[in-house]
Amino acid sequence: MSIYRIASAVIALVSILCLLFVLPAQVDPFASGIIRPATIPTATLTLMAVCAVVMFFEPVKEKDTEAEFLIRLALIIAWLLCALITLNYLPFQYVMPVFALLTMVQIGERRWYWLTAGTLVPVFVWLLIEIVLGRPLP
Amino acid sequence: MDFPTIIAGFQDALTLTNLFFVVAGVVLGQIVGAMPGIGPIMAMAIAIPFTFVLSPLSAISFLVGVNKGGLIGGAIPAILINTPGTPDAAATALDGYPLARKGKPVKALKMALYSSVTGDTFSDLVLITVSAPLAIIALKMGPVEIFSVMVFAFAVISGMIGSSVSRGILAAALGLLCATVGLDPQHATPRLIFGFFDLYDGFPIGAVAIGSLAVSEILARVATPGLASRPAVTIPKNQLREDRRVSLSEYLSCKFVLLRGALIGTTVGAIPGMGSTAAAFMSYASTRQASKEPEKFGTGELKGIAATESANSSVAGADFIPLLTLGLPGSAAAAIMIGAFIIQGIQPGPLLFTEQGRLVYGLFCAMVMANGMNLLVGLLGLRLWSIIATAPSSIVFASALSLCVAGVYIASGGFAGIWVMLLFALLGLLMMAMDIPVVVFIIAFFLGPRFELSLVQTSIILRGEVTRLVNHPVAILFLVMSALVVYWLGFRNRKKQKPA
Repeated sequence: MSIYRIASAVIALVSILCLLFVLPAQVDPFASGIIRPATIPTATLTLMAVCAVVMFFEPVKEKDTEAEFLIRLALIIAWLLCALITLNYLPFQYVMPVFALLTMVQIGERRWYWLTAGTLVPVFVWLLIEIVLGRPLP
Repeated sequence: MDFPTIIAGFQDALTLTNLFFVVAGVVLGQIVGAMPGIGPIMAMAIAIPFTFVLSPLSAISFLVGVNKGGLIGGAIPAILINTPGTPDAAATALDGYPLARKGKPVKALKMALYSSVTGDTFSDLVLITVSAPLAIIALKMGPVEIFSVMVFAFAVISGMIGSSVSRGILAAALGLLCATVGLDPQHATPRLIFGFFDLYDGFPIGAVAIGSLAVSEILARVATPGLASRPAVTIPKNQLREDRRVSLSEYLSCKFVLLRGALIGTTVGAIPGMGSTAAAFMSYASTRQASKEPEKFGTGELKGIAATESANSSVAGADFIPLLTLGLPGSAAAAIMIGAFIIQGIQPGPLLFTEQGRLVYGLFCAMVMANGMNLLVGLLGLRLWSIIATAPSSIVFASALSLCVAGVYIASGGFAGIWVMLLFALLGLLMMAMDIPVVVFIIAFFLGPRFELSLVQTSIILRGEVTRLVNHPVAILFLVMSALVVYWLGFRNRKKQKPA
């Protein structure tokens, strides 16, 4: 089975589960009026489930997703996540230059002058926003 | 609309501060447009949080400048590297790149610049002329009619953008669902906040726009192997005068091509969902068909560049017609513009002309100013931007991610916004992988609260009985048209997808 069909099935399933379990728990069961708090969420989730079922049966053109792309994507998301978590403990001007350097190295940049320039950009952002404009950064 | 309001709007726009932000926007737009992979949409999304501190007119003028500048900037890598900086510049590469390879890159760039400014100015004039009368008509519509127009717009956008109607509707439904997070507008009860009190006001607009439009795109680009360098056509230093300029006779020989392109672009721009890429290719195809020498197209024909650039740029002005008259964005740029309006506490729509007439006419003036600045900045900066077009993607994307984090932190006032940004970046990546149009999602998200309000008002007016719709023939017409659009586009897609 193609990855598109599996994903369509997952979307349909998640939408139905949200309709049955998440919505009743997360939306106030307000009973008065024609349009209730749950009306739009219920309608949109139903529509999503129906569309996902239609997508399941639609002919699809398979895209070749390289394993290298997925690994690189997982890496950059992991680094971004680490950077955002670290921002809770260390300030922006220390964390983001390191993250920028890692990102550039991952893209394949090896020239020292570009690496230096790229590392300095977040410092300039910090200088501009926190020092010049006086707006707090993490 | 009274004359003093129009004059006051023009006065607001013609201040040095506003001119500064228009120029800054145009310069930024041309730079980011010249960088393949960034583009004006991403730049506008990243810039939204930084426009918080500006006055509404300066903020909108700045974003307009970025959008208009980006349309010209996008042609630079299309002509020099055969890699369009923006999707709508893809058609420009068909004749621009061959002309550059013939040793006339500056001529190609200048033709793109002149055509772009011509098309853009034409559509701005159409916008200024037709939007006020259209708004008057729109003001006569009640909530029921407005609701049906919104349904129609969703049907068109869902069907036109993306690979299939089902994916478009799914994106619109997801956008509307995300817009319901927070307090319910009618009963003020919390919905889908999962215990996070930061979500009482809903997802922060800036974080959603940056996450789904900018960060997801950057992450996908960074993960693509082989981004480090691109070979480009270099601009020779000692060129003949006729090889580096577009003469008046050459420009005038393209007058009908420019007019056709501008008309196509303006028409396409006024229809939600079609977009500037479609306009550029439609104009190119019709110009080639009408030409006595169609075989010249694709070999560096000036008329080819004129056709595409006049069409794709004229979409920018026409995009504002549904945005200002009905409050309906028809493209990603218009959706971001709606986000900027909302952040400034302004609701786009027909009432804008009566409540914020000064701002609207200030905006019109700023748009015309941006066209002039686009020409000036383009003429002065083409050579510099052509160097930027070959700058390494590594530094561009790494810097853009830092700006996204800083921008969202400022806009949302804390870490909650950053986590929302990351959540929507992942959602955007998933949508891209599934061919679900992110633009439709973002338009639906921005229109969600207004859609729900219209639905509530409609249900009250109709007292819950659908049969009362007979008293609203315009609404019936739009609802029937919505059904037909979904059926027709779905049928067309099914035929297109059937194996031969």
